[in-house]
Amino acid sequence: MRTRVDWLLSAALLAATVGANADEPQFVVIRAARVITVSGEEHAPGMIVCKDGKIEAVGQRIEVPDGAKEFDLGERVIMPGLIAPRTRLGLRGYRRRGNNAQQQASIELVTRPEGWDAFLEAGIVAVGVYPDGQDMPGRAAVVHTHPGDPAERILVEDGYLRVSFNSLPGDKRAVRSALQAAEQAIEKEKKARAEWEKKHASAQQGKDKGKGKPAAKGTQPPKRGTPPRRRPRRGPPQPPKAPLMAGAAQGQASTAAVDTTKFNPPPIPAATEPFVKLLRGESDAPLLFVELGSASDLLHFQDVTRKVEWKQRPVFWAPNRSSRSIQTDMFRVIETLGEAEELVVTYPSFSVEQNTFIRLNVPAELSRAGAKVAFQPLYDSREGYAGLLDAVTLLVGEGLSREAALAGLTLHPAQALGVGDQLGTLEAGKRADFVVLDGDPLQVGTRVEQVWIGAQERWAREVSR
Amino acid sequence: MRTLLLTLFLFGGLAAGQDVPWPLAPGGEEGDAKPAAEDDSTDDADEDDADEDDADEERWFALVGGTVYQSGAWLEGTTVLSKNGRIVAIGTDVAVPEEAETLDVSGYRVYPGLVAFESRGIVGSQPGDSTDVFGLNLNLALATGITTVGAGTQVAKLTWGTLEGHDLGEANLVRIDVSQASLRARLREDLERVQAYLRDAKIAAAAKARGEDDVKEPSSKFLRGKFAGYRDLLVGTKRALANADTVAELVAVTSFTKRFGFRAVVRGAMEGWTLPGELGRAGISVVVTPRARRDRDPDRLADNGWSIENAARLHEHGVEVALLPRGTGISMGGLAGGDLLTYPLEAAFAMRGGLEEDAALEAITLTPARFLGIADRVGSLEVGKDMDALVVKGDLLHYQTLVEWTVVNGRVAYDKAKDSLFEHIRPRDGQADENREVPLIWPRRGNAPESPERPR
Amino acid sequence: MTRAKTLGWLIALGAGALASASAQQAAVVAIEAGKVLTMNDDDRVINDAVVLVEAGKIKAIGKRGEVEIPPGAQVIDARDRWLMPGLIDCHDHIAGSLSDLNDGVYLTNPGLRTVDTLTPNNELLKNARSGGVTTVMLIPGSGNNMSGFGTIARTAGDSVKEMTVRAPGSLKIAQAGNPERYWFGVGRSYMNWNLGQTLAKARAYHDAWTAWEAAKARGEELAPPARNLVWEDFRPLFRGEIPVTVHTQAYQVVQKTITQLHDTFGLRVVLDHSTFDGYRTSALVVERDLYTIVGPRQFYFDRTQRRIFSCAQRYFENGVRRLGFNTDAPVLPQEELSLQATIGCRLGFDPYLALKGLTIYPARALLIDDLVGSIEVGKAADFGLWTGDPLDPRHACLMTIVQGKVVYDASKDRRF
Repeated sequence: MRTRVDWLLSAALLAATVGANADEPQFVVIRAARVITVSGEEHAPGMIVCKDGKIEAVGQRIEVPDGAKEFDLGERVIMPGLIAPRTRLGLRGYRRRGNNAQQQASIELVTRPEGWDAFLEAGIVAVGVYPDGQDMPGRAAVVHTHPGDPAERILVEDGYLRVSFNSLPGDKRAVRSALQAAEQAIEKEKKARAEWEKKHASAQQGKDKGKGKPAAKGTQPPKRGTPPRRRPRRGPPQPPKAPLMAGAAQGQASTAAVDTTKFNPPPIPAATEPFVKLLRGESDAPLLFVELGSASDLLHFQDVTRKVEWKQRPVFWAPNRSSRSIQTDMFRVIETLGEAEELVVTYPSFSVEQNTFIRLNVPAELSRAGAKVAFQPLYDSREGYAGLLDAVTLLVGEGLSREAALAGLTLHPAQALGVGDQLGTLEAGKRADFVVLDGDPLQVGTRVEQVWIGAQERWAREVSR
Repeated sequence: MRTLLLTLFLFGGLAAGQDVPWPLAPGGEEGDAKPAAEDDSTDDADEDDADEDDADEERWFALVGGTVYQSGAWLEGTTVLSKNGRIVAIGTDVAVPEEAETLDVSGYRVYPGLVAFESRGIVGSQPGDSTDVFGLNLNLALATGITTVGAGTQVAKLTWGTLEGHDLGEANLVRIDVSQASLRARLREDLERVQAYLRDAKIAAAAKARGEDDVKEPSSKFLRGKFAGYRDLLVGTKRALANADTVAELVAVTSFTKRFGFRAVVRGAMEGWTLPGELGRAGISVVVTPRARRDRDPDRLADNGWSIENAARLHEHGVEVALLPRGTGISMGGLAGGDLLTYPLEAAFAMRGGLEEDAALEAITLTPARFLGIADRVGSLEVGKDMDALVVKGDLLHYQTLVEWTVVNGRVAYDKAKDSLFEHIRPRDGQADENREVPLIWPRRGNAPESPERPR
Repeated sequence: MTRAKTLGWLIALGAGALASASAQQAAVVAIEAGKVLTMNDDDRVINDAVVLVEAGKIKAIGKRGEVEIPPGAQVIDARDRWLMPGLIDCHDHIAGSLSDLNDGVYLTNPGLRTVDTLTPNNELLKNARSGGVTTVMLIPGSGNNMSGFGTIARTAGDSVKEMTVRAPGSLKIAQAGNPERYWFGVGRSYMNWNLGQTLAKARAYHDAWTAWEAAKARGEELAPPARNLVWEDFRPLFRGEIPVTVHTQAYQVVQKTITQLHDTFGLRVVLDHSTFDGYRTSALVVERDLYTIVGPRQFYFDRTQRRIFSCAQRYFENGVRRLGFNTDAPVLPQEELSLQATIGCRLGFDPYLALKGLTIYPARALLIDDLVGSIEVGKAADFGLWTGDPLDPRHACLMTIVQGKVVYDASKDRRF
């Protein structure tokens, strides 16, 4: 079966090469003793065929197109590049409060921050850089970790909208007021639209009857992007410059009234806009990254967002009570999170049931209940990332399934960053970002040997002989 | 989760064909799914639940066959049935729907859930927005049988694990401060102003009703902030809340209530026992702490200081009495007997001073509910009120009685046998008086005990 | 006033004086009690009983009818009351002046004695009587490791002499948990070393005198060692005639108390708090037959298994039997001593054993059980008359008797 599929793929590739420019070696082929795709099967041995930095095919035996650059990595193991969804490594902190949903962390990434080699050493190919501050400080950026031109490396500028929800009642009120502002903006627009339609309808009537009445008093909306004001209209509405005359060419009249045939909604403050989209359930509503502190916070979040039509479920950050404490009470809402198959980012560590010494493997419990777990190391530091694989390995030893562990390092964090279609697994169509290890990833002692991003080797561990 | 397990267990039993002791009406048929309401139970209860009355959304809960305490009377072999968190029937022949979650409490006593007039650290400062519904203090308060608390100016129910039905809004109280002469003078001024407004408004309304033209209505613009509160006071929709312990302070409060005719709740009233008739006639109600002490000052001729008989004397003279312990929080430090963790014992101490049992029970249930303005919903087990109850084996006011179950809004919010906190003390399934042997577990960091338990 | 009237008044006064004098000289007081809990070794409880008291001591106990009430006896009708021995608190700071609670210059102050601070009939003592408490061990505070010698005192008595049952009553040592705040701050290594060397000095003094006394008994004439009042009170301690009552709690500290004070120095140890998780030392306590008086904290929240334990009950479960309760008054009011036992029982302890833990066990711990602690012939007539179960907050002590005299009468001045 597999061979047959591989032959088909090979045929497709050959067909592709025929049409391609034979001068440039667009294809890159990497072979290794094991290829873990995380999307299903493992191939041993396996090979990946890439074109223009993306994966064309993954399998055990694929016919190599002519002119492809070939790399044979020998006894090594390839898996999708690891992803850390929540970092500010190498970036300076700052304070920010209130609803700043329009701010972006990407503006801090003019140059590659210091210390990011730590990511490569740990096998991490992409990270989510979050904006600092409290309440709703802005949008994260999804960035490749290799050195190079920032413009090239930043995958997403408008990543998840970070919502801190661990210090109640303040945080809950901040979210509530943002949603209320959004509701008001929607109401305002509805009213403006109703008014406009009324006037537009009466204007149409006026035109039809041929009376020389001036056209409907359309609004003179200021351009979008101007600073938000409570009363965007300046003074009384201006009548159209070209007076409509009875019997005048209908076409003339309509072009003269081009400003008023289309309804221009009043502008929405930039910080409120994401929440308007959430309430309306629009497809480009932002992905929310909700930072919980305790189990009860989840209930409060559900309470305050009752009216939201979720087109994509929010991502939950569910750490222990604090980075200094291993106590948690997240276990109380594991069923709730599991039933809804929520995506939960958490530490790859054991915790302890609050007020006891009872050890818990929260990632394993969450995963078993049906939630999708993504890992973010306890410490946002070189040491933290260096120990990531080992930490997850320990969890596997205590009940976390292998599949969940691997997905928690790759696919699920990619989904948490909203780039699950581009990263996280080794499948055709996804980016050729992968990490090369000297052994099974879930075995203590395995080391990262190489990191490939865009089908190019970006980092290799120096081997001293 | 426990609810689910309980329901599953009961249904599982049925499915397995076992003889599950369904608490059906005696001689009741399987098909009789509708509850037979008591004569005095109204259908209003159902109609009121407009928001919850979806046919698919019916949530039935019943405490079956217990000895139910209803405002001084003991009803034996009685079932309390609730629908969507409200009591719909109390009686000996209540037919419980098949899909109801039930709790067999035969041999147990059922009391209304306790109401604490004041609390700290149990619910959030703004309950609807900040309560940790999985908090340890909430858990401990439920283990004591408390189901509703006042917190600051707010009132909230101890809804374990859910925010549904948690926030009851603001208490029906207006705070006044009569501790200093200057404050009293200001208060008098303000109240007179509002009183004048009300008088003028009434006169104007009467004139209007008679059809007189040219009626000048007084301006109500100033009725904002504290004046709105004072208006509610004088109109009678709210009570005043004042702190007063000494005779002088108490007399200060009575001077206001007598002059302006509003009702007041006094917090403290330590020397109230020296002038109980006066307080009763002045429309004062009290929240007292039975063991709050100030030794008698021998240099004063009149009775003064504290008395253990405070609550009893006040109650004799018709003063509504609610109780509170010295500490209104829950402390895990180990010094016990003085905070909400032993709330029922406050009622016991009031009885030490001569208060009768029914009055003592009312002082920790219905009376604080009345003061907070929520007596229409909680404080006693009546049809139409919320299904808030506690179940004990024996006398709630006996010092060895620990709560077995606490029900809030028709959900089991605490189960002593399933919660580790007190489970080992006179456990339910074991013999009556013996405790469960619990091994000494030495805390070894990072290592699990021999048999790690599934988290609750 | 007319002469006749004045004379009449004088006669009345005189008669009154004579009458009260005769009342004081009334040899026998008879108490008719509804229930007597003797707290003796047979755990005898007598319903409908009579107790005779003469010259402050118990003369006879028995059922009504068995015991004859002699004519002229003052009869106290308590037929609807329970008669309990007066309660005994091993850890009290209110029988003396509160401001001298933590007197001390050094981290160990062996020469100080609370008998110098006894304050008869202070308000807190009057309150204590209203809770049926008749004997307390007045000890100095825990601000330093050794704050002096405590005094066993009655809660009634108009003079220091009348109050004192025994002085020195015990040595007070605070193993840890307060002394750390001494001046510059000290830790356990230093505190324990310092305690040890102080006791070693005391021991040396005692040994020197013991040797001299033995030599004298043999007929040898040696120069006596120097007398030093600072160490003099340690002699009954080392002879085992008085105990050391120790402020100690939490596992490590209690363990240190046991190993240092009992094992190394051979003292009679009374663990006088033993709260938090001190119960983990149960095995050690059982081996050595030590007394454990639990309080003022009565429960411990065990965070290894999320359970609330009564400290006393935990000790009991692990084999300790010599258990009692204290209040550490004024941390908790002295009259609430019975409430401490109430809490212990609420959390699992046995009520009858709790009553013993308020009476006979503390008496034995303080080595005064020949005088008080139970209602037995020959012991002091220290009683509390309760409306019912003393552990039930709904019941109260309405009369307290110390050495045969009524020292608290709720019908005259109710205080609890």
